[in-house]
Amino acid sequence: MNEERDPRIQRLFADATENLGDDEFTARVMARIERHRRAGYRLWTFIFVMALLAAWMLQGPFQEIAMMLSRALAISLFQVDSPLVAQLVMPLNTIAGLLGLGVLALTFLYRRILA
Amino acid sequence: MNSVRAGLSDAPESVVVGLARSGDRDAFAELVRRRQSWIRNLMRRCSGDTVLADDLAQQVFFKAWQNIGRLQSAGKFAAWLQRIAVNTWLQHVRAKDALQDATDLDDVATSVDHGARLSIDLNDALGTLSEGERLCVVLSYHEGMTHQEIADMTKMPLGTVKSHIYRGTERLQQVLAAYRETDREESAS
Repeated sequence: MNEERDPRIQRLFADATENLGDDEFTARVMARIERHRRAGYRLWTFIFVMALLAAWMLQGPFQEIAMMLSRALAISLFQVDSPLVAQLVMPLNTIAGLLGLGVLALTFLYRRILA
Repeated sequence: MNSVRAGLSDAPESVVVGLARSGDRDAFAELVRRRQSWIRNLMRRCSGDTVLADDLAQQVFFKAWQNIGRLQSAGKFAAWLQRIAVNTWLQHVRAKDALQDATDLDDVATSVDHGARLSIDLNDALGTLSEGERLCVVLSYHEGMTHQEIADMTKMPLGTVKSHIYRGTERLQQVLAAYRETDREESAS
């Protein structure tokens, strides 16, 4: 089937097209955008206030968790006797180092798969 | 404010789109002013309902505002907006299962015979088509899109688009013939 169009139907479509430009429609669209923007502000303000409140209420437990995490991440994976070597491999010889390497490896693999 | 609006109304569309992409709401309002007639007419042809069409057209512009930052090229704004409009219509059809509401041709033909209408109502004629046929016919005749472009936009197979347009055109011709017949009878009496 070719793409020829029935000229009568084509004309009908052309004749039926009205000029529908009016400022009222534009105002309605812009009012909707404004309402959405205000709702977004209200939501983010609420989230921010709740987050502040939660941080204030939970600061004690958070501090403890942070301390535990920082201690856990600094745990050595293997014992190194020489202090110089221990200093050199320290960034990798920790749970944090292992996690960092894992993230790097995953990022590399992700890029290779997507490329 | 008025001078800003006057400046925008004279500016090329690519400039206005560029400003809207950077979050300028006056520029976006100007785009709505320029493109609303086109989108509202398209939605009227698709839905056959002026109130619903305007509501959907509003949704189209709202989605456009939310996503205009992702528009790659200002020169492609019209095609991008058209795609949003078609997707909005398809989402509406899916949500409302409007395929069930397509009017049967025989019903309309009968109502046309007895309806004694003087003018051809394009929306009534389009209402005799299934949603798929209607969308393809509107995109072909109203938007001037090729079959391949329609297939790409609606994600329908090319063969389906062709058969929708073929059958839709045939049905429209039948309905228009019925209108003309009614018209002639009324002129004679």
